[in-house]
Amino acid sequence: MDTKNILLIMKKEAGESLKNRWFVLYTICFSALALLVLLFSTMGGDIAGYSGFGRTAASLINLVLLFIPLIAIITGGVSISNERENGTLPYLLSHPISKNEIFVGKFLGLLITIWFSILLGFGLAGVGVAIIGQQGDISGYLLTVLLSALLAACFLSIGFLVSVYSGKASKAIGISVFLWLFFIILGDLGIMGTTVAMDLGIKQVFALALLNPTEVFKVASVLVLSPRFEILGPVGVYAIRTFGQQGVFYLLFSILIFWTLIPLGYGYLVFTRLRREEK
Amino acid sequence: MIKVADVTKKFGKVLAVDSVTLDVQQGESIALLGANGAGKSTLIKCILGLLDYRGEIEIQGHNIKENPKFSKSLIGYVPQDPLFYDMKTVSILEFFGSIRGVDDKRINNLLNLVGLEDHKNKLSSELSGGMRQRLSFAIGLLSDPPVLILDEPTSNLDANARGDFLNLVKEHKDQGKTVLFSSHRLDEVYFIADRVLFMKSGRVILDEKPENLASSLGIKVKINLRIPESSIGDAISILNKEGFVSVGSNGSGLYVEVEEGNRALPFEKLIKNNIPIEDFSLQESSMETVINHIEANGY
Amino acid sequence: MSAEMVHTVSPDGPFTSISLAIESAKNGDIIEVNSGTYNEHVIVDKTLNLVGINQPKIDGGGKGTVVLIKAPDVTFKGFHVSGSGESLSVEDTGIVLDSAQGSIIEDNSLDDVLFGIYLKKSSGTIIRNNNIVGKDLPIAVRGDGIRLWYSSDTKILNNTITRARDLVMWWSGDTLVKGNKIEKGRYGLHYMYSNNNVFEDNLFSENYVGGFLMYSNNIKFQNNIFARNQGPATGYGIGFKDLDDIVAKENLFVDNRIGLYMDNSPHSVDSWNTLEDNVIAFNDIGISFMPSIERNIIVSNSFVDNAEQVEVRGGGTLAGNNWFTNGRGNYWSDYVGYDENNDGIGEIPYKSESLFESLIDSYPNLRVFVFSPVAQAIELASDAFPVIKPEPKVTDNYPLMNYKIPQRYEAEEKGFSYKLFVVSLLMVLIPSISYVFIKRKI
Repeated sequence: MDTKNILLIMKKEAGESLKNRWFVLYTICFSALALLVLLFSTMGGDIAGYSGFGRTAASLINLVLLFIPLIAIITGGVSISNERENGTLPYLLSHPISKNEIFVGKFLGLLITIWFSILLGFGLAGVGVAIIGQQGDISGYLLTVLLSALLAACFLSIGFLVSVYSGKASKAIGISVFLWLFFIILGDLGIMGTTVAMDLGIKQVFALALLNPTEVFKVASVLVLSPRFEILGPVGVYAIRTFGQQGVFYLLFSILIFWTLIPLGYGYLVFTRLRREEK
Repeated sequence: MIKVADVTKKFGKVLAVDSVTLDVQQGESIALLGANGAGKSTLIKCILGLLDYRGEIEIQGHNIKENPKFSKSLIGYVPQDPLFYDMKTVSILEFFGSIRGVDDKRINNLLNLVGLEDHKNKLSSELSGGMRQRLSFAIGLLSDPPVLILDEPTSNLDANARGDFLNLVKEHKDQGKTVLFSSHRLDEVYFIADRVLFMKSGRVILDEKPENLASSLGIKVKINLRIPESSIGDAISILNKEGFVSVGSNGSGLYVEVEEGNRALPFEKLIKNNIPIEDFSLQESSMETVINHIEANGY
Repeated sequence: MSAEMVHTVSPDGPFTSISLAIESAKNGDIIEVNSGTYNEHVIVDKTLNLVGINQPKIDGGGKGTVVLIKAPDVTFKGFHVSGSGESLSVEDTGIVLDSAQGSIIEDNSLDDVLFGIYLKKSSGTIIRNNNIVGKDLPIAVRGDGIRLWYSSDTKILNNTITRARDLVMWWSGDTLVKGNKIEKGRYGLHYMYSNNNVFEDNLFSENYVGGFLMYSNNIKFQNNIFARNQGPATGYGIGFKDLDDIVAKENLFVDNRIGLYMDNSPHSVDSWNTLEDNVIAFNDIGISFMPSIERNIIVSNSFVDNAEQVEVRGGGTLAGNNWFTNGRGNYWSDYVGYDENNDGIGEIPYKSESLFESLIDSYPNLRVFVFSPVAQAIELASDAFPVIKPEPKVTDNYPLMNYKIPQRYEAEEKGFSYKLFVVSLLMVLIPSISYVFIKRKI
């Protein structure tokens, strides 16, 4: 692999996306969301100097949780399928550049674009909150940004896996939206149903819930914004007792990184080795 | 320069390219003819390494599978319908220029060469078909590669644009580039090709010089002649006597089919017999006629 | 009756130790102790007035109880008591009052002690303005900050207890606990069989449990703050078990795991508890009830942004309690009704009938899914198909539209944050500058 080519593709992807008006829209949405999260959770909304991880903050985390995966998985989903559909991919491949370089370059380029959007969004919100005034330390804020970035990486990676299998952007979007819905709601609903029907124990519920990267993100956000696991009930207590505060954090981060690397790695294999032809 | 040895490509059960072997010398210009689905594009994509295949393909001695990047760096490819990212013309050139390690000076020269200098800040979507094809050609020439491969490059161009484009290709052929192109049009073949390969059902069934093509295939040109109505009958019998087979009347005159290279003959005979010719038109043999002919003759 | 004498203790004499001065003193005498460190264990067995000048230090050297008061009506004021032993079984303490009725323990500072101030059968005592810091030990082997044992009619005023185990009150009624700060302990208040007590203006924060009261009646709470009590498995701002006739007014329960926990309270069938004008905010659970609890009057409180406003353990409803009286209910931050006639009371009832909440009340393991989109989806589904809506846990026919925070709880001013500003600005600048670079090339 040639770093020069990877950088070139990265720059092309980032440049094209940054010019896109969707990028502006995402960023505005992120900013608004982040501003509200900050205002209502760690830094704002308080009584007698006390603040808590209230419902409002929670529902805003919820919005972030809906928003970031959707954008990331669709961005990933159309990344390669769109070029395939437009025919620009075979044309690009007729030049002395390899599929490895294209894949890696595209992923990094789009990841950077989404990360830029997240940074800008949270950054603008942070500037706003700083001017309005806040107290306390900013590590929760930074961890939230980091978690959002990881969540975006996860779903971008899943999107790429969808993309290498799709010949058409529309098909990729369809599959992406379905997977998004699955991760956001259907999967959890299934686990809840199973728990009620089969009376699953704490360990099983914990394990099943953490299969889902969005659930991992949520648990980690709760840990960041409200440093107690009791809020998650017996399962949270089990997690803290078994792994410790630090351990749970490492576990959650590992799962998010795992969910980034596995679909990405498999997508890479499919794109560069298993699916060798671009007609 | 290009060596294709026993290359076979299947799509599912369909044989798209069937044991093709060919050897293109440096500076040679090869036309690939054949009906749609004959395997021309598939063969080109195999040579470009876009498709997997059985057999061996080498560009200047470099195997495309084993050394794809270097092999591709020797080829400039102009696709049938060039598809670009929606970027500025000059940015597109810079992008592919970076892949091929070309500097800005070369890019300006090429913009100049293909006449896109005034349009370099337009988005690719704002370019006309001819401009897009010239941009595509400029991209093909970026690293000044020894081999140019063109897949029906003129099929979407109007007459003027086609002429300009063919002249560009011809110039580069004359400068010593090895050219492989597929086409639908005989005039392009005559204009550029040193050799014509005819493909059918994935096989190369004819390998001929273009000047011999017509005669070896017995391709004929149809000449329509306008002559006074009173002379039509005489004219037909004269031409029949002279050995022209396909002769007949057509309202205001008659038609006659002659072999390529013998177009003047019917005129000569009729004038000799004092039959006045008021006007004429030529109906060139089209690609379809050639294809029909070859198919009919079972090559 | 001879005149009371003043005995002076200082490192240079006349008395070089407090014990020697006590030995020479008679009931009613004053012992003035000048600043300095006195390495001794003091036993006060006469009714004396012990006054420290500039906080003389009495150091028990890490052994036993440092000061033991065994006579009634003793005043012990202005000392620094330090260095008790670490034995829980013999209860090594800073200051013990054993049958020392009517004594005053005032303006002392205690540190490095296992127990702080321990009252055994010492009713009528005043404990005022003491600052108690426990030993830096794991919570299980710490002693109590203040312990009342069969000591009624006591006043505990303006003390600070940090890093101790509990403030314990057993069999100690008719007591006033006012203006104390109890932080970073196990149970801010640990309490049994003590009736007719009043708690005012106290702060219980960052304990495992703010307070846990059992088997008592007629207790008043006013103007207390229960904040950030978040111990594992408990974490109650305050918990009541078998408690009758509670009146809790204008307290603030904030950022606890559970604001209030009600177990079998009230206990007697003719007893009613009253919770009024309290603010219950930012807790994981606002109020948690064990099943089938009745006869609580809960009005005019503000339930603000608790992750779950009301929990019924094991599921069920709380219909036997009064959630409104005389046309006034409570403020609920998740109320979605409206106030048409502008009387501050919503026109449609507040109903706590979340399907997801009733699910997690019945299946606590599912609580791990709180704040997930799936929880929202389930609520949406139950809004769309009311058939699957659970019976409301709480129905408040007169929900208040505005919440009210007692004046003295207003938030402090927040300043401009340079740290956040700089970090956020960096986050904005990194992509912006990179964008300019990328754009230049493409």
